[in-house]
Amino acid sequence: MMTTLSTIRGFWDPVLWMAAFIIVIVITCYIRSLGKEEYKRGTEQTMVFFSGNIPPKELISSSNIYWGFFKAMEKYYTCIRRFHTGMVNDYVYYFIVIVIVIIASLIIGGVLWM
Amino acid sequence: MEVGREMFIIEHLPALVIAIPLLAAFIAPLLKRFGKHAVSVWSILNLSIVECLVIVLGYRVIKDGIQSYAIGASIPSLLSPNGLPVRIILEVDAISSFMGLTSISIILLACIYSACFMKKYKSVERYYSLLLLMAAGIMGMAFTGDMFNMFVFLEVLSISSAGLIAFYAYKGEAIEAAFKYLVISSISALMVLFAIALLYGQYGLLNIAALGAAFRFTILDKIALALLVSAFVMKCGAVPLHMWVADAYGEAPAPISASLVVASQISLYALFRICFTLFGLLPAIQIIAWFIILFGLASMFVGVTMAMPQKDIKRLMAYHAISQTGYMLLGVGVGLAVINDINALNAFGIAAMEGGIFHIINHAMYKGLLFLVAGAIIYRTGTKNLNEMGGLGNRMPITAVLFLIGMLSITGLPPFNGFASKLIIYESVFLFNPILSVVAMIVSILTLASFVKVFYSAFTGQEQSKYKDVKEIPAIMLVPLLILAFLIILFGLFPGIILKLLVKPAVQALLDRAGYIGVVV
Repeated sequence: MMTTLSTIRGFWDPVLWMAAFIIVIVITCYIRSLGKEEYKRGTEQTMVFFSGNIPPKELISSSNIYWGFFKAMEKYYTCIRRFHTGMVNDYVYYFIVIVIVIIASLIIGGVLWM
Repeated sequence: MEVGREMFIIEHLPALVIAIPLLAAFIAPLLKRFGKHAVSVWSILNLSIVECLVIVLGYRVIKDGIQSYAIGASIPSLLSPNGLPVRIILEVDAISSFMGLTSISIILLACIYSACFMKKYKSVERYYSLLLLMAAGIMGMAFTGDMFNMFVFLEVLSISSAGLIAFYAYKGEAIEAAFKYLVISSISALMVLFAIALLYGQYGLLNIAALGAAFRFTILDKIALALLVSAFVMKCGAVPLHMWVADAYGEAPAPISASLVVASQISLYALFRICFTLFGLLPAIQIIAWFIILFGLASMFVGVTMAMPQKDIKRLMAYHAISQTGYMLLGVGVGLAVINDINALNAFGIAAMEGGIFHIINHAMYKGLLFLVAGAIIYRTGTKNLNEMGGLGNRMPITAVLFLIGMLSITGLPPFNGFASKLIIYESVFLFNPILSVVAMIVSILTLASFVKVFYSAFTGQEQSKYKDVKEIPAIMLVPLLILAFLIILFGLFPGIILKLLVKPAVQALLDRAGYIGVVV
């Protein structure tokens, strides 16, 4: 088929995937239609679930999203931000370090390789 | 007469694709007297001609093999009159025409977008002049077969890019970003020049093919290789030499951010050309391959984790550009690592390279689309801060859908084009080292998380009262976005055809070192 992409272990066909996706959507909609319909509009039954709390009315800004992830990764971010100083001197310093490491690896590795 | 003109154009195609934007860049400022539109129409026209010529050139490469051109020779096909290449030679194979086509397409769409986006600024003639110079620099780097010529076009590209990054000169941040970019570019170019001097001092050659044939793999060659690799890794924005990317992409006008993506990718191409064609037979090339893999791995992870906390939409996308560069480095790096092991190369090395090269064109399209969507948001709201956005989906529904297409593509969700290239990378890299593949998958999940945040912050959520008068962007700005979205879907639906027509020949060209050298020597 024109849409098929052969890979090492198999194949990928977007048209087949879309056909499967549509079938799954249809089944999902059918299962949803079996659900209860006697909910009351405008009551807490239709409110957004916010960990059992009342959802805040003010805008949740992008800075608040994934706060738990950032809290868990605090040490990583503290470390990684230390390198992002914004100073061009540091950028040049990193470049020199990388050049030296690559040259040293090539020379030492080249000797071992031979 | 017509046939003669046609033959003339075909014979000089490699030179014309560089000469046209170069000359057009110097004519552009003179057209200001006819109005701002004259400059933008002139630029679009010239870039469209170059796009057509690159397509013809690519077709000829696929049909007839490598196209070469000796600049200034009475017969352009006479490359080595005395057995030695004495002129600047342009050598176009499938990988260079692939890069040329990708780059010029994005720059052309960015130029069309700029016709409206940059309308309110006074000195647009400088903007278009620099954009055309940037196109000339990229085309030159893609098509040159000469090391010194590559350095010259790298300089043309860097200087024009720095000017464009500093276009919003009234903002201190833009000047700072351009200054950083200029320092980084100068140092990279200086190291490239130093490496060229080391090679020229030993072999008396500047031609890539002739150098590739003459190598003796001395210590000086290794130093030259290290300098070239470091310089191009910095220019393509890979971790840990990526620091300039967020500033430059973040502060440049949105269409320039999209163009900078392909400008960085052309450095990636230079890196691959150096590693495969010039130093492909070096016994220690696997050390460089592992460096490329590690740079790729670090770029993927650091790029995406640094993107997640960003509040500035363009800085966030800039960090994602770093992250996506990692996939390309990883794929091609794995191919380079097994270049001397024919079994491994056939089992997964070529597939990994195909994934990496396919990701180049996919990334150019979806990141181009995402930067232009970011520009559309900034154009209408005047802010880059995600905290100040909200509910724009009601006011800009088409832009929201286009963002969603770009977002789903960059995150590698089926059936978009990003999925196809990432799938090839995951599968092939897994056979090389499963850990690398797992990291690549985790990075895709984090990318999705990051873009969900952007979509929520900008397009959904509570509508801001200050944006109640915001409306959809003008039609001229929507056209490039729609074209990119269409291409993303097209490449996603027909990945096998794209792979066969564009990617496989490009990978074969990269691997066919003897073929590239044989044209000249």
